[in-house]
Amino acid sequence: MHNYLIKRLLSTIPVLIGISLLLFFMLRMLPGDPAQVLAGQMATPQEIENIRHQLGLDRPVYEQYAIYMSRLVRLDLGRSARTQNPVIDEIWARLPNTLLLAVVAITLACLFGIPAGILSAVRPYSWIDYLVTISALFGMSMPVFWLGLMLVVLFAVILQWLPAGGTGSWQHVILPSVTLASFVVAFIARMTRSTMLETLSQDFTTTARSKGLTETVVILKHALKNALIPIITVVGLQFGFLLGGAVLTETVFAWPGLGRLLYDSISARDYPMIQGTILIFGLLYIFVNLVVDLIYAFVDPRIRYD
Amino acid sequence: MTEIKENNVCQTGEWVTENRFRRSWAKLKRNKAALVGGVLILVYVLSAFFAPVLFPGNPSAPNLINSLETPTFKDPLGTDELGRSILGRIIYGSRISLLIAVGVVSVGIILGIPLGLVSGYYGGKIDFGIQRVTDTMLAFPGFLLALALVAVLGVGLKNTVISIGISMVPMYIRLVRGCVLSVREEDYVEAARAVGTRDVIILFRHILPNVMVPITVQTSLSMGMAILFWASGCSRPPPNGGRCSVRPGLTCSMHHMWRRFPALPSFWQCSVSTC
Repeated sequence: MHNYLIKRLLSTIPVLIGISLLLFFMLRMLPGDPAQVLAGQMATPQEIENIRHQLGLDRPVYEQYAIYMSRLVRLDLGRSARTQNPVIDEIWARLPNTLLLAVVAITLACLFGIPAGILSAVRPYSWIDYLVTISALFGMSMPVFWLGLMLVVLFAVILQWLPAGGTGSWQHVILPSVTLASFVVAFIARMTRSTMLETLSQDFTTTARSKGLTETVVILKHALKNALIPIITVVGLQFGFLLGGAVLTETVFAWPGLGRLLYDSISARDYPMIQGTILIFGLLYIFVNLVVDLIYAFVDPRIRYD
Repeated sequence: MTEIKENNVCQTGEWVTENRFRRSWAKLKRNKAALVGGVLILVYVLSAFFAPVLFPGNPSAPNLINSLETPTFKDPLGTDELGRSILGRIIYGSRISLLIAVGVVSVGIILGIPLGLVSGYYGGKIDFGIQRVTDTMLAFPGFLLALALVAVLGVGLKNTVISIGISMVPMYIRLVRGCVLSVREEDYVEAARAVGTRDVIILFRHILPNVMVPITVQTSLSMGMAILFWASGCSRPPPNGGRCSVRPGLTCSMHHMWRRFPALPSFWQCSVSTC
Protein backbone atom coordinates (compact mmCIF):
# COMPACT_ATOMS: atom_id res chain seq x y z
CA MET A 1 0.00 0.00 0.00
CA HIS A 2 2.91 2.34 0.75
CA ASN A 3 4.28 1.78 -2.74
CA TYR A 4 0.88 2.48 -4.22
CA LEU A 5 0.57 5.69 -2.20
CA ILE A 6 4.00 6.91 -3.32
CA LYS A 7 3.19 6.02 -6.93
CA ARG A 8 -0.10 7.90 -6.73
CA LEU A 9 1.53 10.98 -5.23
CA LEU A 10 4.26 10.93 -7.87
CA SER A 11 1.65 10.53 -10.62
CA THR A 12 0.27 13.94 -9.62
CA ILE A 13 3.05 15.58 -11.66
CA PRO A 14 2.27 13.95 -15.05
CA VAL A 15 -1.48 14.41 -14.45
CA LEU A 16 -0.97 18.12 -13.79
CA ILE A 17 1.23 18.40 -16.88
CA GLY A 18 -1.52 16.61 -18.86
CA ILE A 19 -4.17 18.98 -17.49
CA SER A 20 -2.06 22.05 -18.25
CA LEU A 21 -1.30 20.86 -21.80
CA LEU A 22 -4.90 19.95 -22.57
CA LEU A 23 -6.19 23.13 -21.01
CA PHE A 24 -3.69 25.36 -22.75
CA PHE A 25 -4.69 24.19 -26.21
CA MET A 26 -8.37 23.86 -25.30
CA LEU A 27 -8.51 27.53 -24.29
CA ARG A 28 -6.97 28.58 -27.59
CA MET A 29 -9.78 26.72 -29.37
CA LEU A 30 -12.57 28.59 -27.57
CA PRO A 31 -14.28 31.28 -29.57
CA GLY A 32 -13.53 34.85 -28.49
CA ASP A 33 -10.35 36.93 -28.41
CA PRO A 34 -9.11 37.72 -24.87
CA ALA A 35 -7.42 40.90 -26.09
CA GLN A 36 -10.68 42.08 -27.63
CA VAL A 37 -12.63 41.25 -24.47
CA LEU A 38 -10.14 43.14 -22.29
CA ALA A 39 -9.93 46.13 -24.61
CA GLY A 40 -13.71 46.50 -24.85
CA GLN A 41 -16.05 47.10 -27.76
CA MET A 42 -14.79 50.61 -28.58
CA ALA A 43 -11.07 49.76 -28.73
CA THR A 44 -9.03 50.46 -31.86
CA PRO A 45 -7.17 47.61 -33.62
CA GLN A 46 -3.89 49.12 -32.39
CA GLU A 47 -5.05 49.00 -28.75
CA ILE A 48 -6.14 45.39 -29.18
CA GLU A 49 -2.79 44.55 -30.73
CA ASN A 50 -0.96 46.21 -27.82
CA ILE A 51 -2.92 44.17 -25.29
CA ARG A 52 -2.25 41.00 -27.29
CA HIS A 53 1.47 41.77 -27.22
CA GLN A 54 1.32 42.60 -23.52
CA LEU A 55 -0.33 39.23 -22.76
CA GLY A 56 2.14 37.42 -24.99
CA LEU A 57 -0.67 36.15 -27.22
CA ASP A 58 1.13 37.26 -30.39
CA ARG A 59 3.77 34.54 -29.90
CA PRO A 60 3.37 31.00 -31.29
CA VAL A 61 1.24 28.74 -29.05
CA TYR A 62 4.09 26.30 -28.27
CA GLU A 63 6.25 29.24 -27.15
CA GLN A 64 3.44 30.54 -24.93
CA TYR A 65 3.15 27.06 -23.40
CA ALA A 66 6.91 26.83 -22.81
CA ILE A 67 6.89 30.20 -21.03
CA TYR A 68 3.85 29.14 -18.98
CA MET A 69 5.48 25.85 -17.93
CA SER A 70 8.78 27.50 -17.04
CA ARG A 71 6.83 29.79 -14.70
CA LEU A 72 4.73 26.94 -13.36
CA VAL A 73 7.83 25.01 -12.33
CA ARG A 74 8.67 27.99 -10.12
CA LEU A 75 5.06 27.85 -8.78
CA ASP A 76 4.28 31.11 -10.56
CA LEU A 77 0.77 30.96 -12.04
CA GLY A 78 1.13 34.40 -13.60
CA ARG A 79 -1.06 37.46 -13.26
CA SER A 80 -4.75 37.79 -13.99
CA ALA A 81 -5.31 39.52 -17.32
CA ARG A 82 -8.42 41.14 -15.87
CA THR A 83 -7.30 42.40 -12.46
CA GLN A 84 -3.50 42.24 -12.86
CA ASN A 85 -3.31 40.58 -9.42
CA PRO A 86 -1.20 37.42 -9.02
CA VAL A 87 -3.39 34.41 -9.87
CA ILE A 88 -2.19 32.49 -6.83
CA ASP A 89 -3.27 35.32 -4.49
CA GLU A 90 -6.79 35.44 -5.93
CA ILE A 91 -7.10 31.65 -5.69
CA TRP A 92 -5.79 31.58 -2.11
CA ALA A 93 -8.29 34.28 -1.14
CA ARG A 94 -11.21 32.20 -2.42
CA LEU A 95 -10.09 28.65 -1.77
CA PRO A 96 -11.05 28.65 1.96
CA ASN A 97 -14.58 29.80 1.06
CA THR A 98 -14.96 27.06 -1.51
CA LEU A 99 -13.58 24.41 0.82
CA LEU A 100 -15.82 25.56 3.66
CA LEU A 101 -18.96 25.46 1.53
CA ALA A 102 -18.10 22.08 -0.01
CA VAL A 103 -17.18 20.46 3.32
CA VAL A 104 -20.34 21.71 5.06
CA ALA A 105 -22.54 20.70 2.12
CA ILE A 106 -21.07 17.21 1.78
CA THR A 107 -21.24 16.67 5.56
CA LEU A 108 -24.91 17.68 5.58
CA ALA A 109 -25.54 15.45 2.57
CA CYS A 110 -23.93 12.41 4.20
CA LEU A 111 -25.59 13.04 7.58
CA PHE A 112 -29.04 13.12 6.00
CA GLY A 113 -28.63 11.10 2.82
CA ILE A 114 -27.11 7.89 4.19
CA PRO A 115 -29.56 7.41 7.11
CA ALA A 116 -32.48 8.33 4.85
CA GLY A 117 -31.36 5.75 2.27
CA ILE A 118 -30.90 3.08 4.95
CA LEU A 119 -34.33 3.74 6.48
CA SER A 120 -35.87 3.67 3.05
CA ALA A 121 -34.24 0.33 2.19
CA VAL A 122 -35.00 -1.28 5.54
CA ARG A 123 -38.71 -0.47 5.22
CA PRO A 124 -39.32 -0.73 1.48
CA TYR A 125 -42.70 0.45 0.18
CA SER A 126 -43.56 1.94 3.57
CA TRP A 127 -44.57 5.57 4.14
CA ILE A 128 -40.99 6.41 5.11
CA ASP A 129 -39.71 4.90 1.86
CA TYR A 130 -42.20 6.96 -0.15
CA LEU A 131 -41.31 10.07 1.84
CA VAL A 132 -37.58 9.60 1.15
CA THR A 133 -38.17 8.73 -2.52
CA ILE A 134 -40.40 11.75 -3.13
CA SER A 135 -38.06 14.09 -1.21
CA ALA A 136 -35.13 12.75 -3.23
CA LEU A 137 -37.08 13.35 -6.42
CA PHE A 138 -37.68 16.97 -5.39
CA GLY A 139 -34.05 17.43 -4.37
CA MET A 140 -32.74 16.14 -7.68
CA SER A 141 -35.25 17.89 -9.89
CA MET A 142 -35.18 21.35 -8.41
CA PRO A 143 -32.68 23.63 -10.15
CA VAL A 144 -30.28 24.92 -7.47
CA PHE A 145 -30.61 28.57 -8.49
CA TRP A 146 -34.38 28.43 -8.00
CA LEU A 147 -34.15 26.60 -4.68
CA GLY A 148 -31.51 29.12 -3.56
CA LEU A 149 -33.74 32.05 -4.47
CA MET A 150 -36.73 30.51 -2.69
CA LEU A 151 -34.64 29.93 0.45
CA VAL A 152 -33.49 33.56 0.33
CA VAL A 153 -37.10 34.74 -0.03
CA LEU A 154 -38.24 32.58 2.91
CA PHE A 155 -35.38 32.80 5.39
CA ALA A 156 -33.83 36.16 4.55
CA VAL A 157 -36.72 38.27 3.31
CA ILE A 158 -39.87 36.94 5.01
CA LEU A 159 -38.57 35.41 8.26
CA GLN A 160 -35.34 37.45 8.39
CA TRP A 161 -33.53 34.69 10.25
CA LEU A 162 -30.50 34.38 8.00
CA PRO A 163 -28.47 36.71 5.76
CA ALA A 164 -29.32 36.65 2.06
CA GLY A 165 -25.73 36.45 0.87
CA GLY A 166 -22.07 37.22 1.46
CA THR A 167 -19.63 35.77 3.99
CA GLY A 168 -18.44 36.57 7.50
CA SER A 169 -20.27 34.38 10.02
CA TRP A 170 -21.56 30.84 10.37
CA GLN A 171 -25.06 32.05 9.52
CA HIS A 172 -23.83 32.99 6.04
CA VAL A 173 -22.88 29.37 5.35
CA ILE A 174 -26.29 27.85 6.10
CA LEU A 175 -28.37 28.81 3.05
CA PRO A 176 -25.73 28.16 0.34
CA SER A 177 -24.67 24.87 1.89
CA VAL A 178 -28.28 23.67 2.27
CA THR A 179 -28.93 24.64 -1.36
CA LEU A 180 -25.85 22.76 -2.54
CA ALA A 181 -26.56 19.79 -0.29
CA SER A 182 -30.15 19.36 -1.55
CA PHE A 183 -29.08 17.66 -4.75
CA VAL A 184 -26.27 15.65 -3.15
CA VAL A 185 -28.53 14.41 -0.32
CA ALA A 186 -30.98 13.14 -2.89
CA PHE A 187 -28.24 11.46 -4.90
CA ILE A 188 -26.70 9.78 -1.85
CA ALA A 189 -30.09 8.71 -0.47
CA ARG A 190 -31.07 7.11 -3.78
CA MET A 191 -27.75 5.33 -4.13
CA THR A 192 -27.82 4.13 -0.51
CA ARG A 193 -31.37 2.85 -0.86
CA SER A 194 -30.70 0.90 -4.03
CA THR A 195 -27.41 -0.66 -2.93
CA MET A 196 -28.79 -1.44 0.54
CA LEU A 197 -31.86 -3.13 -0.96
CA GLU A 198 -29.49 -5.34 -2.92
CA THR A 199 -27.25 -6.27 0.01
CA LEU A 200 -30.21 -6.81 2.34
CA SER A 201 -31.43 -9.56 0.02
CA GLN A 202 -28.04 -11.33 -0.09
CA ASP A 203 -27.36 -14.65 1.61
CA PHE A 204 -24.83 -13.23 4.06
CA THR A 205 -27.52 -10.93 5.50
CA THR A 206 -29.86 -13.89 5.98
CA THR A 207 -27.01 -15.82 7.62
CA ALA A 208 -26.28 -12.88 9.93
CA ARG A 209 -29.97 -12.71 10.91
CA SER A 210 -30.18 -16.48 11.44
CA LYS A 211 -27.17 -16.29 13.76
CA GLY A 212 -29.38 -14.18 16.03
CA LEU A 213 -27.61 -10.86 15.52
CA THR A 214 -29.64 -7.76 16.27
CA GLU A 215 -31.23 -5.96 13.34
CA THR A 216 -29.02 -2.90 13.91
CA VAL A 217 -25.87 -5.01 13.66
CA VAL A 218 -27.17 -6.80 10.57
CA ILE A 219 -27.99 -3.51 8.87
CA LEU A 220 -24.94 -1.49 9.85
CA LYS A 221 -22.18 -4.11 10.04
CA HIS A 222 -23.21 -6.55 7.35
CA ALA A 223 -25.50 -4.85 4.84
CA LEU A 224 -24.21 -1.27 4.92
CA LYS A 225 -20.55 -2.25 4.90
CA ASN A 226 -21.09 -4.22 1.71
CA ALA A 227 -23.11 -1.43 0.14
CA LEU A 228 -20.58 1.29 0.88
CA ILE A 229 -18.36 1.17 -2.23
CA PRO A 230 -20.78 2.90 -4.67
CA ILE A 231 -21.86 5.29 -1.90
CA ILE A 232 -18.25 6.31 -1.24
CA THR A 233 -17.67 6.75 -4.99
CA VAL A 234 -20.69 9.02 -5.29
CA VAL A 235 -19.69 11.03 -2.21
CA GLY A 236 -16.18 11.47 -3.63
CA LEU A 237 -17.44 12.53 -7.05
CA GLN A 238 -20.00 14.91 -5.59
CA PHE A 239 -17.43 16.43 -3.25
CA GLY A 240 -15.25 17.10 -6.28
CA PHE A 241 -18.17 18.73 -8.08
CA LEU A 242 -18.94 20.88 -5.06
CA LEU A 243 -15.35 22.07 -5.01
CA GLY A 244 -15.44 23.16 -8.61
CA GLY A 245 -18.91 23.47 -9.92
CA ALA A 246 -20.92 25.52 -7.45
CA VAL A 247 -21.16 28.47 -9.84
CA LEU A 248 -24.93 28.99 -9.63
CA THR A 249 -25.10 28.73 -5.85
CA GLU A 250 -22.13 31.06 -5.44
CA THR A 251 -23.83 33.54 -7.77
CA VAL A 252 -27.20 33.44 -5.98
CA PHE A 253 -25.62 33.93 -2.54
CA ALA A 254 -22.80 36.27 -3.66
CA TRP A 255 -20.38 33.73 -2.23
CA PRO A 256 -16.79 34.51 -3.25
CA GLY A 257 -15.67 31.02 -4.26
CA LEU A 258 -13.58 29.40 -6.97
CA GLY A 259 -16.54 28.32 -9.13
CA ARG A 260 -17.64 31.92 -9.63
CA LEU A 261 -14.05 33.03 -10.16
CA LEU A 262 -13.65 30.45 -12.92
CA TYR A 263 -16.94 31.39 -14.55
CA ASP A 264 -16.03 35.10 -14.57
CA SER A 265 -12.58 34.27 -15.90
CA ILE A 266 -14.03 32.21 -18.75
CA SER A 267 -16.44 35.03 -19.61
CA ALA A 268 -13.50 37.48 -19.73
CA ARG A 269 -11.19 34.93 -21.45
CA ASP A 270 -8.71 35.49 -18.62
CA TYR A 271 -6.37 32.65 -19.60
CA PRO A 272 -3.90 32.77 -16.65
CA MET A 273 -6.76 32.73 -14.14
CA ILE A 274 -8.60 29.88 -15.90
CA GLN A 275 -5.39 27.84 -16.08
CA GLY A 276 -4.58 28.45 -12.42
CA THR A 277 -8.09 27.61 -11.21
CA ILE A 278 -8.36 24.40 -13.25
CA LEU A 279 -4.95 23.25 -12.03
CA ILE A 280 -6.15 23.73 -8.45
CA PHE A 281 -9.34 21.77 -9.29
CA GLY A 282 -7.12 19.06 -10.74
CA LEU A 283 -5.06 18.91 -7.55
CA LEU A 284 -8.19 18.76 -5.40
CA TYR A 285 -9.69 15.99 -7.54
CA ILE A 286 -6.48 13.96 -7.45
CA PHE A 287 -6.48 14.25 -3.67
CA VAL A 288 -10.20 13.38 -3.34
CA ASN A 289 -9.86 10.34 -5.64
CA LEU A 290 -6.78 9.17 -3.77
CA VAL A 291 -8.64 9.37 -0.45
CA VAL A 292 -11.62 7.54 -1.99
CA ASP A 293 -9.35 4.75 -3.26
CA LEU A 294 -7.75 4.41 0.17
CA ILE A 295 -11.18 4.25 1.82
CA TYR A 296 -12.15 1.46 -0.64
CA ALA A 297 -9.28 -0.68 0.64
CA PHE A 298 -10.21 0.12 4.23
CA VAL A 299 -13.90 -0.73 3.77
CA ASP A 300 -13.29 -3.86 1.69
CA PRO A 301 -9.96 -5.49 2.62
CA ARG A 302 -10.18 -7.69 -0.50
CA ILE A 303 -9.40 -4.61 -2.59
CA ARG A 304 -5.65 -4.46 -3.22
CA TYR A 305 -3.75 -2.14 -5.50
CA ASP A 306 -0.26 -3.61 -5.37
CA MET B 1 -38.05 -38.21 -28.74
CA THR B 2 -36.09 -35.23 -30.00
CA GLU B 3 -39.35 -33.47 -30.80
CA ILE B 4 -40.66 -34.05 -27.28
CA LYS B 5 -37.44 -32.72 -25.79
CA GLU B 6 -37.50 -29.62 -27.98
CA ASN B 7 -41.14 -29.00 -27.08
CA ASN B 8 -40.33 -29.29 -23.40
CA VAL B 9 -37.43 -26.90 -23.67
CA CYS B 10 -39.55 -24.50 -25.66
CA GLN B 11 -42.42 -24.71 -23.21
CA THR B 12 -40.06 -24.37 -20.25
CA GLY B 13 -38.46 -21.36 -21.89
CA GLU B 14 -41.83 -19.71 -22.42
CA TRP B 15 -42.86 -20.57 -18.90
CA VAL B 16 -39.71 -19.01 -17.49
CA THR B 17 -40.19 -15.83 -19.52
CA GLU B 18 -43.84 -15.60 -18.53
CA ASN B 19 -42.99 -16.28 -14.93
CA ARG B 20 -40.30 -13.59 -14.95
CA PHE B 21 -42.70 -11.11 -16.53
CA ARG B 22 -45.38 -11.92 -13.95
CA ARG B 23 -42.88 -11.56 -11.13
CA SER B 24 -41.68 -8.21 -12.43
CA TRP B 25 -45.26 -6.99 -12.88
CA ALA B 26 -46.19 -8.14 -9.35
CA LYS B 27 -43.13 -6.33 -7.99
CA LEU B 28 -43.99 -3.18 -9.91
CA LYS B 29 -47.58 -3.29 -8.65
CA ARG B 30 -46.31 -3.46 -5.07
CA ASN B 31 -44.15 -0.40 -5.59
CA LYS B 32 -46.61 2.46 -5.99
CA ALA B 33 -43.83 5.03 -6.50
CA ALA B 34 -42.41 3.05 -9.42
CA LEU B 35 -45.89 2.71 -10.87
CA VAL B 36 -46.48 6.47 -10.67
CA GLY B 37 -43.02 7.02 -12.18
CA GLY B 38 -43.83 4.63 -15.01
CA VAL B 39 -47.08 6.45 -15.78
CA LEU B 40 -45.26 9.83 -15.74
CA ILE B 41 -42.60 8.52 -18.12
CA LEU B 42 -45.33 7.18 -20.41
CA VAL B 43 -47.16 10.54 -20.37
CA TYR B 44 -43.85 12.33 -21.03
CA VAL B 45 -42.84 10.12 -23.93
CA LEU B 46 -46.33 10.06 -25.47
CA SER B 47 -46.69 13.84 -25.19
CA ALA B 48 -43.30 14.26 -26.90
CA PHE B 49 -44.28 11.80 -29.61
CA PHE B 50 -47.72 13.29 -30.24
CA ALA B 51 -46.69 16.94 -29.76
CA PRO B 52 -47.92 18.02 -33.22
CA VAL B 53 -51.32 16.41 -32.52
CA LEU B 54 -51.65 17.94 -29.05
CA PHE B 55 -50.46 21.39 -30.13
CA PRO B 56 -50.81 21.87 -33.86
CA GLY B 57 -48.83 24.73 -35.34
CA ASN B 58 -45.41 26.18 -34.74
CA PRO B 59 -44.65 26.43 -30.98
CA SER B 60 -42.10 29.17 -31.64
CA ALA B 61 -44.37 31.36 -33.77
CA PRO B 62 -45.10 34.62 -31.93
CA ASN B 63 -48.66 35.78 -31.40
CA LEU B 64 -48.29 39.19 -29.78
CA ILE B 65 -52.03 39.75 -29.30
CA ASN B 66 -52.06 36.92 -26.74
CA SER B 67 -48.90 38.07 -24.96
CA LEU B 68 -48.69 37.23 -21.21
CA GLU B 69 -52.19 35.71 -21.05
CA THR B 70 -53.43 34.07 -17.87
CA PRO B 71 -54.13 30.33 -18.07
CA THR B 72 -57.12 29.43 -20.20
CA PHE B 73 -58.62 26.17 -21.45
CA LYS B 74 -56.69 26.58 -24.72
CA ASP B 75 -53.42 27.52 -23.00
CA PRO B 76 -53.58 25.85 -19.58
CA LEU B 77 -50.28 27.40 -18.41
CA GLY B 78 -50.82 30.79 -20.03
CA THR B 79 -48.58 32.43 -22.64
CA ASP B 80 -45.15 34.04 -22.66
CA GLU B 81 -44.17 37.55 -23.73
CA LEU B 82 -44.49 36.65 -27.40
CA GLY B 83 -47.91 35.08 -26.92
CA ARG B 84 -46.67 31.50 -27.31
CA SER B 85 -48.36 28.78 -25.30
CA ILE B 86 -46.09 27.82 -22.39
CA LEU B 87 -47.55 24.31 -22.17
CA GLY B 88 -47.13 23.88 -25.92
CA ARG B 89 -43.49 24.90 -25.67
CA ILE B 90 -42.92 22.54 -22.75
CA ILE B 91 -44.47 19.66 -24.69
CA TYR B 92 -42.44 20.42 -27.82
CA GLY B 93 -39.42 21.00 -25.61
CA SER B 94 -39.75 17.53 -24.15
CA ARG B 95 -38.84 16.13 -27.58
CA ILE B 96 -35.42 17.79 -27.46
CA SER B 97 -34.99 17.14 -23.74
CA LEU B 98 -35.76 13.46 -24.28
CA LEU B 99 -33.20 13.25 -27.07
CA ILE B 100 -30.61 15.06 -24.96
CA ALA B 101 -31.24 12.93 -21.87
CA VAL B 102 -31.10 9.61 -23.73
CA GLY B 103 -28.24 10.68 -26.00
CA VAL B 104 -26.00 12.04 -23.26
CA VAL B 105 -26.51 9.05 -21.02
CA SER B 106 -25.86 6.69 -23.95
CA VAL B 107 -22.50 8.35 -24.62
CA GLY B 108 -21.64 8.11 -20.92
CA ILE B 109 -22.65 4.45 -20.76
CA ILE B 110 -21.04 3.34 -24.03
CA LEU B 111 -17.66 4.83 -23.13
CA GLY B 112 -17.75 4.83 -19.34
CA ILE B 113 -18.94 1.32 -18.52
CA PRO B 114 -16.38 -0.66 -20.60
CA LEU B 115 -13.54 1.57 -19.39
CA GLY B 116 -14.67 1.23 -15.78
CA LEU B 117 -14.99 -2.56 -16.13
CA VAL B 118 -11.52 -2.91 -17.67
CA SER B 119 -9.96 -0.54 -15.15
CA GLY B 120 -11.41 -2.31 -12.14
CA TYR B 121 -10.99 -5.88 -13.41
CA TYR B 122 -7.42 -5.77 -14.69
CA GLY B 123 -6.07 -3.33 -12.10
CA GLY B 124 -2.33 -2.64 -12.18
CA LYS B 125 -0.95 -0.43 -14.92
CA ILE B 126 -4.18 -0.45 -16.95
CA ASP B 127 -6.17 0.79 -13.96
CA PHE B 128 -3.49 3.31 -13.12
CA GLY B 129 -3.48 4.70 -16.66
CA ILE B 130 -7.26 4.89 -17.03
CA GLN B 131 -7.65 6.49 -13.62
CA ARG B 132 -5.09 9.19 -14.32
CA VAL B 133 -6.94 10.07 -17.53
CA THR B 134 -10.15 10.14 -15.47
CA ASP B 135 -8.49 12.47 -12.93
CA THR B 136 -7.52 14.76 -15.81
CA MET B 137 -11.06 14.79 -17.22
CA LEU B 138 -12.62 15.39 -13.81
CA ALA B 139 -10.43 18.45 -13.28
CA PHE B 140 -12.31 20.21 -16.07
CA PRO B 141 -15.72 21.49 -15.02
CA GLY B 142 -18.42 20.04 -17.25
CA PHE B 143 -19.39 23.35 -18.83
CA LEU B 144 -15.81 24.16 -19.86
CA LEU B 145 -15.24 20.70 -21.30
CA ALA B 146 -18.54 20.86 -23.20
CA LEU B 147 -17.75 24.38 -24.42
CA ALA B 148 -14.35 23.34 -25.74
CA LEU B 149 -15.71 20.21 -27.41
CA VAL B 150 -18.49 22.17 -29.08
CA ALA B 151 -15.83 24.63 -30.28
CA VAL B 152 -13.93 21.72 -31.86
CA LEU B 153 -16.85 19.65 -33.15
CA GLY B 154 -19.10 22.56 -34.09
CA VAL B 155 -22.55 23.54 -32.86
CA GLY B 156 -25.65 21.37 -33.27
CA LEU B 157 -27.70 18.93 -31.31
CA LYS B 158 -25.52 15.90 -32.10
CA ASN B 159 -22.29 17.61 -31.09
CA THR B 160 -23.85 19.03 -27.94
CA VAL B 161 -25.00 15.54 -26.94
CA ILE B 162 -21.48 14.16 -27.55
CA SER B 163 -19.90 17.04 -25.60
CA ILE B 164 -22.13 16.73 -22.53
CA GLY B 165 -21.94 12.93 -22.80
CA ILE B 166 -18.15 12.96 -22.69
CA SER B 167 -18.21 15.10 -19.56
CA MET B 168 -20.32 12.33 -17.94
CA VAL B 169 -17.89 9.54 -18.88
CA PRO B 170 -15.50 9.91 -15.88
CA MET B 171 -18.41 9.56 -13.46
CA TYR B 172 -19.34 6.21 -14.97
CA ILE B 173 -15.71 5.08 -15.05
CA ARG B 174 -15.20 5.86 -11.35
CA LEU B 175 -18.51 4.32 -10.28
CA VAL B 176 -18.15 1.09 -12.29
CA ARG B 177 -14.48 0.69 -11.44
CA GLY B 178 -15.17 1.05 -7.69
CA CYS B 179 -17.84 -1.65 -7.78
CA VAL B 180 -15.73 -3.98 -9.96
CA LEU B 181 -12.77 -3.72 -7.58
CA SER B 182 -14.99 -5.36 -4.98
CA VAL B 183 -16.92 -7.77 -7.21
CA ARG B 184 -13.83 -9.20 -8.99
CA GLU B 185 -12.86 -10.90 -5.72
CA GLU B 186 -16.17 -12.81 -5.51
CA ASP B 187 -16.13 -16.62 -5.75
CA TYR B 188 -18.23 -16.77 -8.90
CA VAL B 189 -15.72 -14.61 -10.76
CA GLU B 190 -12.88 -16.81 -9.62
CA ALA B 191 -14.89 -19.90 -10.60
CA ALA B 192 -15.53 -18.48 -14.06
CA ARG B 193 -11.82 -17.71 -14.41
CA ALA B 194 -10.90 -21.20 -13.20
CA VAL B 195 -12.97 -22.92 -15.90
CA GLY B 196 -11.25 -20.81 -18.54
CA THR B 197 -14.04 -18.34 -19.35
CA ARG B 198 -12.81 -15.52 -21.54
CA ASP B 199 -12.29 -12.15 -19.83
CA VAL B 200 -14.83 -10.40 -22.02
CA ILE B 201 -17.50 -12.94 -20.98
CA ILE B 202 -16.54 -12.60 -17.31
CA LEU B 203 -16.74 -8.83 -17.58
CA PHE B 204 -20.05 -8.56 -19.37
CA ARG B 205 -21.90 -11.69 -18.24
CA HIS B 206 -20.67 -12.18 -14.69
CA ILE B 207 -19.48 -8.83 -13.37
CA LEU B 208 -21.64 -6.28 -15.18
CA PRO B 209 -25.02 -7.64 -13.99
CA ASN B 210 -23.70 -7.45 -10.43
CA VAL B 211 -22.79 -3.78 -10.68
CA MET B 212 -25.98 -2.74 -12.47
CA VAL B 213 -27.75 -1.27 -9.43
CA PRO B 214 -25.47 1.76 -8.96
CA ILE B 215 -25.24 2.20 -12.74
CA THR B 216 -29.05 2.36 -12.96
CA VAL B 217 -29.24 4.97 -10.20
CA GLN B 218 -26.46 7.00 -11.81
CA THR B 219 -28.18 6.80 -15.20
CA SER B 220 -31.55 7.96 -13.95
CA LEU B 221 -29.93 10.91 -12.18
CA SER B 222 -27.66 11.75 -15.10
CA MET B 223 -30.69 12.18 -17.35
CA GLY B 224 -32.02 14.98 -15.15
CA MET B 225 -28.56 16.51 -14.90
CA ALA B 226 -28.17 16.41 -18.69
CA ILE B 227 -31.45 18.27 -19.21
CA LEU B 228 -30.46 21.05 -16.80
CA PHE B 229 -26.95 21.17 -18.26
CA TRP B 230 -28.29 21.50 -21.79
CA ALA B 231 -30.83 24.02 -20.66
CA SER B 232 -28.24 26.34 -19.18
CA GLY B 233 -25.87 26.07 -22.12
CA CYS B 234 -28.24 26.06 -25.09
CA SER B 235 -28.15 29.12 -27.24
CA ARG B 236 -30.56 28.10 -29.97
CA PRO B 237 -34.22 29.05 -30.09
CA PRO B 238 -35.99 25.65 -30.15
CA PRO B 239 -38.35 25.26 -27.22
CA ASN B 240 -36.87 23.24 -24.40
CA GLY B 241 -38.54 22.48 -21.10
CA GLY B 242 -35.38 22.96 -19.10
CA ARG B 243 -34.48 26.11 -20.96
CA CYS B 244 -37.90 27.63 -20.27
CA SER B 245 -36.85 27.94 -16.65
CA VAL B 246 -33.20 28.81 -17.11
CA ARG B 247 -33.28 31.58 -19.67
CA PRO B 248 -33.59 34.71 -17.57
CA GLY B 249 -35.41 36.65 -20.26
CA LEU B 250 -38.18 34.12 -20.44
CA THR B 251 -38.31 33.72 -16.69
CA CYS B 252 -38.87 37.42 -16.22
CA SER B 253 -41.26 37.75 -19.09
CA MET B 254 -43.54 34.93 -18.05
CA HIS B 255 -46.90 35.85 -16.71
CA HIS B 256 -46.68 36.92 -13.06
CA MET B 257 -48.28 33.65 -12.02
CA TRP B 258 -45.30 31.73 -13.34
CA ARG B 259 -42.63 34.11 -12.10
CA ARG B 260 -42.90 32.37 -8.74
CA PHE B 261 -42.51 28.97 -10.36
CA PRO B 262 -40.08 29.47 -13.22
CA ALA B 263 -38.45 26.11 -12.50
CA LEU B 264 -41.65 24.19 -13.17
CA PRO B 265 -40.81 23.06 -16.72
CA SER B 266 -37.36 21.71 -15.86
CA PHE B 267 -38.67 20.36 -12.58
CA TRP B 268 -41.28 18.35 -14.47
CA GLN B 269 -38.78 17.05 -17.01
CA CYS B 270 -36.07 16.24 -14.45
CA SER B 271 -38.60 14.52 -12.19
CA VAL B 272 -39.79 12.32 -15.01
CA SER B 273 -36.24 11.54 -16.09
CA THR B 274 -35.18 10.59 -12.59
CA CYS B 275 -38.31 8.53 -11.85
